[in-house]
Amino acid sequence: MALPEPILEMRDVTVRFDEKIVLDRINLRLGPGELVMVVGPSGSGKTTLLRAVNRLNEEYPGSATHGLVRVRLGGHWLDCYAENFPLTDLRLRVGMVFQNPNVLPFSIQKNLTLPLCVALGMSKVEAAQRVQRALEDVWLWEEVKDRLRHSALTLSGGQQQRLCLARVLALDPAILLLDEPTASLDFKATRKIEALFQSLKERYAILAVTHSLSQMRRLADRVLILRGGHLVSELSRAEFQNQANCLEIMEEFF
Amino acid sequence: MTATQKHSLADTATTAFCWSAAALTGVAVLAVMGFLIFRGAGTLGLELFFGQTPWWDALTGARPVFDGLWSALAGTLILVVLSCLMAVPVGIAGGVYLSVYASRRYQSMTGFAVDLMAGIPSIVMGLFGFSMIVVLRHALFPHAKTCLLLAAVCIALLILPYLVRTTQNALSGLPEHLRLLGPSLGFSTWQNTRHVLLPSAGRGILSGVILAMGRAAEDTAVILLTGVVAQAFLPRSLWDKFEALPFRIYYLAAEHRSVAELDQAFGAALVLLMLTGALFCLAFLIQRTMEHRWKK
Repeated sequence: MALPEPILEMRDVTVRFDEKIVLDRINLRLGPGELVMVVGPSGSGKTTLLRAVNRLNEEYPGSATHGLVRVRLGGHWLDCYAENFPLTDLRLRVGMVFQNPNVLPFSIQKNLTLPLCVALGMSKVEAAQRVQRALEDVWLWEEVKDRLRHSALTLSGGQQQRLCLARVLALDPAILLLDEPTASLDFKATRKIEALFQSLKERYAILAVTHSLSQMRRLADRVLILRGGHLVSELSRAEFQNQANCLEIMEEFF
Repeated sequence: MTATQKHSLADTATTAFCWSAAALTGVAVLAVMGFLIFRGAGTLGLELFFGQTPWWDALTGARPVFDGLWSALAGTLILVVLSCLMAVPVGIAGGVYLSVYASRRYQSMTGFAVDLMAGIPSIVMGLFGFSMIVVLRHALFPHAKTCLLLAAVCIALLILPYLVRTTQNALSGLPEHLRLLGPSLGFSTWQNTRHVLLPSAGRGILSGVILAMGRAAEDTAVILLTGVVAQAFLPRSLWDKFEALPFRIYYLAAEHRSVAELDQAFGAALVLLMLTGALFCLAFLIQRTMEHRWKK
């Protein structure tokens, strides 16, 4: 069976910070509607891999990226590292959720409308219309609809993380990058967010980093194992679903 | 003595030291303020400010004030406002540049220059202003003389490095996830600075502004060489000589001819303290109002 055309492709991607090589010749394909998880020990370059897609590594001094990263948006392939590439557009279409819920110290409503007004140039009225849909997408509307003007910091950790996800979804992305989005949450909040990702999988291509092997087994369609900046293995769902097999592989690579 | 006992002894000693240092600071502040109030409170009153001139006439400028603090108070207030108007926007912009835009190399070079500038003694800054006027008189404007504007410019230069440094530190101190948030949502560098970083660093920047205001209000050495005089009326323009509270205090303390004049010096010191306190409150209110608007 021929693989569907991917929506994100990385070819021989190497990322350095000053002289240190953090990612070494990474090759990766992400298909539409696919949830690929990247696992690996701390410092193996997982976060850098995600940030190589939306070029967030460049926010740090001394970073250099080589190789090809391209995304297929609206039927066209775009080379993310091409000169004069519209970086803002890329980051709008490739949304990112961070490890810690980083809500802005503003109201719930403003957390959602600010990026719409600033990055997309929407009017306040247009932006407000998107708020409900985004909150419904993350199952937060019923919980916060009466207190949209309250500070986002009054929400629980799990709610804050869902708000962060809503903020990204409101921008209408095609690809989601999730950097250990449940790392700082308790069991119940984690389960809720995992269920949410299950439901979002059909609409977005998702590249996620996780530390939790059980989460990986619950959610991933495919797993990439990173170690010391190298992609050392790729597992299909059948391979990591088998518990004994999975443990064996993990023992070997961690 | 066991290792645990040693550790707990070190803990107790550190705690005691920190407590006493904090207490000592508090006592020192209270002692200074208490002494000022004790010596100066008795002089507070309309006469301290306006002498024999009716206060309404003095405020409207209808009649000059001869032996009150009014001219000095107004002089200092205008000086602080003018120098802050010049230094605050430039200082904050400089801090933003260093923290957000500058390359690492440029950051360390300029950072060094800013530190160097912060270390300039104020009398040297005064001399700089004075020599500037001398040069201007010879080169371009034969009528140039030391004045309010020159003093304000020199004070602005004096407080600029504090503003740059505190802004830079407040921005650099923001957690990484907050600094990456804007770019990850498609904000440009300026949009991120304007909508995410500056509001989040507001309080840190405010403390720099307060520090700068205090410095501008109390400095005597700079204005001594750039236009302050012992006896003047309200400055009629930016090119006029002026009076200032710190200089008045110095002058009265050094050259008083009677106990009443010395008491007036204490009164003036108390007024200066209240003036800076009021300015701090104003800065605090402005910051809070802006923060409130941002958060909505």
